[in-house]
Amino acid sequence: MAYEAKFVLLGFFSQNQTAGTLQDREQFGDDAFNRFDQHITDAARQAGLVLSDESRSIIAMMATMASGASPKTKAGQAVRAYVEYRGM
Amino acid sequence: MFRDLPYYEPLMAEPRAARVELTLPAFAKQFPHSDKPGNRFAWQITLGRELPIVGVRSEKLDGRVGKGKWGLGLWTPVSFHMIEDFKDESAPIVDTDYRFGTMVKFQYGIKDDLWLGVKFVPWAHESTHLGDEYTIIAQLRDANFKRVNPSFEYHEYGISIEKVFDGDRLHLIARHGGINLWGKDGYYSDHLLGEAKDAHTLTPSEKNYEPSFGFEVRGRQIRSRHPFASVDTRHKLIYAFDRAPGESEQQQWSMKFAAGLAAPEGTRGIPLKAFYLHYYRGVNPYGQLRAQKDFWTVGLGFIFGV
Repeated sequence: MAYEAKFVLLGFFSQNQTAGTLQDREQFGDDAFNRFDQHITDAARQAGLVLSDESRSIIAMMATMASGASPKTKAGQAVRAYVEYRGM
Repeated sequence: MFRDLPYYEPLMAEPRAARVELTLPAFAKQFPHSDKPGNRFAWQITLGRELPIVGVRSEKLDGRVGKGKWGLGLWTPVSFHMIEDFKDESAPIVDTDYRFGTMVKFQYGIKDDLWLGVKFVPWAHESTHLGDEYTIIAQLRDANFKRVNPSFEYHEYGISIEKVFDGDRLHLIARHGGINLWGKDGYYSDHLLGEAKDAHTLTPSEKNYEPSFGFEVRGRQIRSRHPFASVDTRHKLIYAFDRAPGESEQQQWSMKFAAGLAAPEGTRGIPLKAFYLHYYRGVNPYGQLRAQKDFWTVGLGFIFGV
């Protein structure tokens, strides 16, 4: 799975204040997937959630902006924020 | 280009890292040439920053590198430090120092939550300046007082291992580093300002290698901050300006301990990154006052950032 391009653009732009090239964004999306996706699905499973591809894309981009040292922490913060947003 | 990347960030207890740091209120042992005896209120400020120049990395994400990824960057650390004594007449500036140099930092992700860090400073300069009011008081009190000019170029290395347990509930950092001087003239000039360069009034320093060890533990985040305890210890030279040729110099392990609360790594929009209680004991670290051993300071520290 690759994260949805429009959400990757948001994450990339938040970090770089530029759209970059398609190749830049694709690598950014791949790096975010490799770094966070497993932690996102684990945290969602613990919260009893099944996430859509769109939700995972949004949460992963939020994780790139989260504080913390480890990807598990960043992913956990993003999942918690998304759960609160959805009122779950 | 010019991006902040969190590779080998200074420990909270690192003395005079290139960052903005205020120590207030703060107290210190009497300085060697103080007029009024006893411990004193002596605040400090460091203004500095590690200015990022250029970086390369094996991934597009900012922040720490992921497992199997690496990042390398070039920085210019620049900092200015001042300590002021509020006990003697006119509240003299005791010492001001500045440093600048070049620095390469590297980070490798051994695991998702385990990182290797390396720092190498190929060249840096430190210049120290005893305050003019402090110097006047010292000259009045001691006819043999000499105003020395510690100013030196050095290179530095550091290696760091960082491990995070269970999603930042526990974060450990262990470090070793060292400073050594370029050239053979030591930490200070062998003549006083105004003297002929071949006066050789002072005996140059010889034990110019200063190894260091550091350790930091950060606990689980509580609300917006996490508790931490940090220690930095260095085998500092005790300056001996007037020792006889061939006489050995002494060194003293000098330790700074800091414990407080810090914003989690990567927090944006909160300038106050950390506040802590600090205790330092060892060689007086300020300019030519490094001739004083068993010096101490204690105070409340504040670290600011962007």
